[in-house]
Amino acid sequence: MNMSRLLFTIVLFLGLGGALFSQEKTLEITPERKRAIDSLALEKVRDLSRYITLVGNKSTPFSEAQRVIDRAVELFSDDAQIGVSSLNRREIRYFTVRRYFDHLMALNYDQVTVEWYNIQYVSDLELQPDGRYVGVITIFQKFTGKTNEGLKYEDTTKKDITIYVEKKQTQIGGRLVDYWDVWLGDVRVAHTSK
Amino acid sequence: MKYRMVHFISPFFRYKTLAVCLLLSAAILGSPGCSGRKKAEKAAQEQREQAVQEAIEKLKALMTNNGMTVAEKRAEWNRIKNLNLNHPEVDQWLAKVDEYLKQEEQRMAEEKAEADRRAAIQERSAKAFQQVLTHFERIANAPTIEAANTHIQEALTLFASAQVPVLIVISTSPSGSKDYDRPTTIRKYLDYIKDQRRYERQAEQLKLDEQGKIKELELLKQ
Amino acid sequence: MMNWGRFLPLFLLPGLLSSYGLMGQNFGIDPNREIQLQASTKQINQFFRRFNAEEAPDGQRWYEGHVDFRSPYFRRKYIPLLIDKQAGIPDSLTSAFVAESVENNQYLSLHAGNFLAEVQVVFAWEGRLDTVQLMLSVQEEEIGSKWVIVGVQGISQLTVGYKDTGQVFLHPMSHEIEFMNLFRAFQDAENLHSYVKEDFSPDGLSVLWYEIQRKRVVFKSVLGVRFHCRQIPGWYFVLQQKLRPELNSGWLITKLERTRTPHPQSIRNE
Repeated sequence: MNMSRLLFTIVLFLGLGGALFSQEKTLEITPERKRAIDSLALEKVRDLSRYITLVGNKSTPFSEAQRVIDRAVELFSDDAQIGVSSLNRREIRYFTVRRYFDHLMALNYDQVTVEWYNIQYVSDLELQPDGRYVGVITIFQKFTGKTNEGLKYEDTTKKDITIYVEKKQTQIGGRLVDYWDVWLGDVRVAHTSK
Repeated sequence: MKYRMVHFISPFFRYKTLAVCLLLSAAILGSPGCSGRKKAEKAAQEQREQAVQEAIEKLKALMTNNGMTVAEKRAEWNRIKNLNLNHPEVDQWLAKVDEYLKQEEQRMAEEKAEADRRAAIQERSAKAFQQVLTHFERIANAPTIEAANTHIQEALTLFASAQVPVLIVISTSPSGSKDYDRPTTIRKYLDYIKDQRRYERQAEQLKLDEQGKIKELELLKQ
Repeated sequence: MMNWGRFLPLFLLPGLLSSYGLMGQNFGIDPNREIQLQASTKQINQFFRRFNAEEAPDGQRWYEGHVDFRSPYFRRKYIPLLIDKQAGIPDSLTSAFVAESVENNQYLSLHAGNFLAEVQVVFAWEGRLDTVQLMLSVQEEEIGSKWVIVGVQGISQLTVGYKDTGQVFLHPMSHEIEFMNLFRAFQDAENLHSYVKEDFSPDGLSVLWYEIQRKRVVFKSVLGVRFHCRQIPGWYFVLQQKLRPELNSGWLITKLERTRTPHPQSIRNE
């Protein structure tokens, strides 16, 4: 085999290897995998709603509420913010997740319900420069807070929730396990109607 | 031309006479008394040789993957042994195959023991998961937080520790590789059931330790 | 008048993940509102998917290889639904826009450039609130992409001293006195423009950059966002979110114009 042909073969081989490697590094998300990740992310959002309901309820003991807040905070990235605007106040007010929950606890309703509209939209997942994927889930929720005295607060909000997706690896019982870490980021809350 | 004909015929007659003499003497010499016994002996010898060869071939085949089970092979070995061929080469092969079959029989016994052990583990795992599911259900449907906490404590007794890892399979690719959710611990998962009032109902894998406590749990997302 | 009602059911098929209907206790949910939300274009991402006919009327994503992926049939029906019916955009203009987009196989993408976000942001300038417009565009990176600030407009302080009255200046013999009279220029912020070159215009991004570095400016909040799109040759449109309890809601085209040049570089003077 002449030298240049050999060299070409080597380059081609290395090139292909490189391509395969980089594909592995920024793991392709096939439509099937996207569906599994979407439902996983939607589930995290659903879990969050339930935590909101638990924390908002007066019947939840303080220690339980604290534990639930810890679990809710775990769903988010450390620096996630919840940005809230209302119909008469266009400006976004920022809360950390913990403050948002503390605020919710302070409202002290006797009964809180978070109802879901059967409508949600999950965006495509976009690759960001650090190799993670980012997407946004949009949901619509109706929040109702009631007191025993009959006072009632109600609002419907559009929530655009950032989701991050990253393939990670960990060791469990002596073997390596690949898993998809899906966590929540900044949440934009916009009031749509009373 | 005439001369040539005579020349051709006369030796023919000479050979004919010789052939008749030979036939006569053969008839006299080959009488049944002595030559018949030898012939029978020879045939018997040949038969024995054939039986020995066949036995050797069959014994050799028993050491190959000829589609027979080990038990069938042992039966065939016994049959050949009982032929009592008393032939050194056959005896040599009988010993060799016996050694081989003993190894195979041991391997089979080990495999069976392993299969039995696995079946037992599987049965124990299935039983353990049924217990786990019962607790999951109790926690999810607990009327009060206190009741749920009690059920959590009960459920934890099934596990080696509160830190036992819980894996949840979210999807399996056509090639069989599994995608998991973020691994959690049983303590957190039980709290999750209490808060969210739902749980995964299918186990992909459940590992028990020597004390029969669950040391790893893998669930399948619905 | 476009027969808009006829195509509405396209966005109104049952929810894409019906199992999630069980998620909440839906006893207080108004079903009409749910229909409106289904029709609503909920994200820019969905605006693109609908514009390109890359999702089914029920919201299921169509990928390449699906029989209806980017189908002209669906595009002709989808695109008119993406126009704000309250923006006063003439039907004739909409029809021409739809026809050109479909016939010329023009598709929208976050990564195709010519897509500018205009974000209204409130800053506190040494305690005083000021609303400015940040212009952002998507920048492709070695891995993935990100939004980057490309310009800042509307810093109110920069309009101060922008007029040239002709009454003050550095006189033409200033050089002979080693420009010692510069002290006058820099005391006179009201008339600063009189002292700088005629075509100077302060660059908002540089000013903001500097002020933030000096910690004289504090970010307060986002007030709103709209998008300027020039990806369809010969067209410019603005996208805004209309959160209203109607079918025609969400991210919609609120301004649609023909442009003389297919791809102008800047929208600064829009």
